[in-house]
Amino acid sequence: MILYCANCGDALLFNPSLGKMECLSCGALFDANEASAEYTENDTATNPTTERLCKPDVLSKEATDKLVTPNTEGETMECNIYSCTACGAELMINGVESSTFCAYCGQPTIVFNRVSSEAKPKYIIPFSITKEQAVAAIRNRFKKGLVIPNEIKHFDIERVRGIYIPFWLYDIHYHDAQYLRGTVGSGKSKRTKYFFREAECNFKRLTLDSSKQLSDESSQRLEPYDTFAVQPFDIGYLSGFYADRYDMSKKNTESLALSRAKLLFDNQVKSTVRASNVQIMKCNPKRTIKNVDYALFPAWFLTFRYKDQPHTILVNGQTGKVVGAVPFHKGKVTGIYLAISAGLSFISSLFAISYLSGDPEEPGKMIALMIMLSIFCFITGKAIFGKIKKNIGLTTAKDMNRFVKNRQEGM
Amino acid sequence: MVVFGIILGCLLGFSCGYLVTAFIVRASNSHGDSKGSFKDFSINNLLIIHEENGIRKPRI
Repeated sequence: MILYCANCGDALLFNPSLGKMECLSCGALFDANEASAEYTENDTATNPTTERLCKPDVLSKEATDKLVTPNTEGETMECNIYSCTACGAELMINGVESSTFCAYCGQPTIVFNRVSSEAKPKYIIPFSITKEQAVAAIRNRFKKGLVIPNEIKHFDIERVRGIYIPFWLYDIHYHDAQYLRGTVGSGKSKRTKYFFREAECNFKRLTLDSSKQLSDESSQRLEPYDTFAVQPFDIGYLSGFYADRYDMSKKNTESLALSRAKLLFDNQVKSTVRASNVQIMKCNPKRTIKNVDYALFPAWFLTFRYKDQPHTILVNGQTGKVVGAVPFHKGKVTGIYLAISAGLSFISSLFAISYLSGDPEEPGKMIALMIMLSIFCFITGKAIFGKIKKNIGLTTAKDMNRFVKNRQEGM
Repeated sequence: MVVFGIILGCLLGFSCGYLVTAFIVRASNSHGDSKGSFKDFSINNLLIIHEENGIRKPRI
């Protein structure tokens, strides 16, 4: 479905900065629900422009229902071929898509009836960060990067895609009576103390990503979303963006939601205990899922190339949070490492020589301390580098690129 | 003694340098590592119904 301008008949796009549907030809603005209501009232036959554009009736409800099997229990969905209502080109759309651009003419072709009544989201957080703002946020981050290669700093964006990611919103009532153990005091007065806490918590709109295609690691890093700023879902918000349909059912995510609630609850309870190394010894949780809603949350996916490798950086479409790691300049890193190490080595050598020359009573202790400190620094540094490499791997991961590519090219 | 001091100093210096470099690279190239917390936008609605500190060791 394309939403058309009531004035000139051209296609409408959702403008995040204005929060309205905008006609790129005449500049007219419409509320999202107003524009979609207009579409419902003006049947394609009554609108001459629409009639011209929608000549191949491949997106009619009957036709789509035959082609698309809604995936409610994690079954696979077939990819279907459609013709673009604007240019007539053939498009292959992934079975879990709710809307897509035409890869050829760029028209925002929204497949309205693929968001079936069963899968229709209850809420949506519309994009409030524009494409330009998302690009600027990334460029600003890169500018400050000391060891980011210049090619990346001045990257050419290959593609920018605004994608709505499906989430389940859980309302959970959590009650627990816990016995906890913690350490108080220090040195010789250090001792174990025991605590009891009975507490309850009403989790409102606890988020859980319901797309199998986007890794949980990536979607959790995109969070938090302000779930209290959600709007009732309206198809107009999808105009100009891609939307992913959930492929993890409520049933499949219930246990994940409960474990997430448990983690949050336990951490909050632990924070009320004045002790260190707090551990739960015994608990008796009673958890009730009160309500589950389906919602779409916005994210920008920006892809650029470095050394023939595509990298995708994500930007939260509501808060502008930038997520992703980029490769570092090995020469610059080596230079910094050598400079810092030389300085530190000089200082610590001076210290070691002067200490050992002073003929100390127990030099072994200081030597052992320095060696242990060296081992600690090396292991911690290695762990940090490992994490950075893992993060870089996430932005270049095949799954991520497949996810983004599928939403651009349909297969 | 001097040579041993230099070796020891270099060992510590290069390993500390490695750690500092790792921090610099992380700050420069890795963005949004922290996973969002539900609490970030939610009211902390934990209600403590009953609490006791310094109780006897519970029987498990």
